[in-house]
Amino acid sequence: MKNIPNRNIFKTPEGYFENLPNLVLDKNELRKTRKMSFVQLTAAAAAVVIGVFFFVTKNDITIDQSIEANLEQEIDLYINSGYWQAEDILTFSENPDLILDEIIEEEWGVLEDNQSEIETGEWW
Amino acid sequence: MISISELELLELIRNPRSRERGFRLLVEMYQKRVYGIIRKMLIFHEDADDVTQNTFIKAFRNLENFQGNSSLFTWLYRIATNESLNFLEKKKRRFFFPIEDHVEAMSGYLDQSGLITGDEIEIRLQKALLKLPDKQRLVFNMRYFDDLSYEQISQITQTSVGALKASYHHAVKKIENELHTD
Repeated sequence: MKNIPNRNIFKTPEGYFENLPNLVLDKNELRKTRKMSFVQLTAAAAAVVIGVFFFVTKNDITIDQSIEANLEQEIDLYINSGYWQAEDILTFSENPDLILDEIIEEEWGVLEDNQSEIETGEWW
Repeated sequence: MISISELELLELIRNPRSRERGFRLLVEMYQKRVYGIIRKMLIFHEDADDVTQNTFIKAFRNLENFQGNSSLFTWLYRIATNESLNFLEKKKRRFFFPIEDHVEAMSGYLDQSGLITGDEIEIRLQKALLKLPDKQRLVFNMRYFDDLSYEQISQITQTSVGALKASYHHAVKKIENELHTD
């Protein structure tokens, strides 16, 4: 072992030690700015989730409303043009009886009002 | 005991207005020695560069905990050696490569890199050192190359002087056998 020199055989790239302090300080600054508290991270994540939730639900309602409005316009067009008759529309419905009941109730409701006037004799 | 210059340095760092200047001075004062001990362990300059930077950053973050029981240099050296040993341990824990691979890579670097300037016997010594356990190699490096006293090495490694002497002499025997075998 005495015959083996103990000199340093490990060399560095040129200018390495001149730049190293800057590199270390910059890296330290970078780590400090990236460091967020767990609470801040959680709050940010929650805000993002809530924001996305509202965005999605709002857009869904808007989309549904616009589709519904377009459908109603189309249906009116088909009816007014005579392309669809009343019987055609009833067959499209899943529950045509319900539609008829609603129509009857609406019509007879008017008729009952009129009937009361007849009974009181006011019409003649 | 802390030297006066180290005390002044600590004052600079503890004062928020001069903190950055203190950090810069800390790096400038100790970078070559810190890098040196790390490089001897890790062999690759790129690895040593990473670990050196991390050592100083760790020192910055933990200077508030430095109680002055040892010199600032010893404290820094301790961080550097721990970081180096942890780094080597992580390299060897890669499940897809056998343990010899990283040692072989370091040995190959000694032969091929332009950042190694040793003659034949110096390269052979380094390769023989790579066959020692990491902690034994560390002790050898600090004693043989850095010329640290056993007391200093004891403070750095938190190992008794007796154990260190035994480790060093055992390392010398192994290296001599290895070099004579080659």
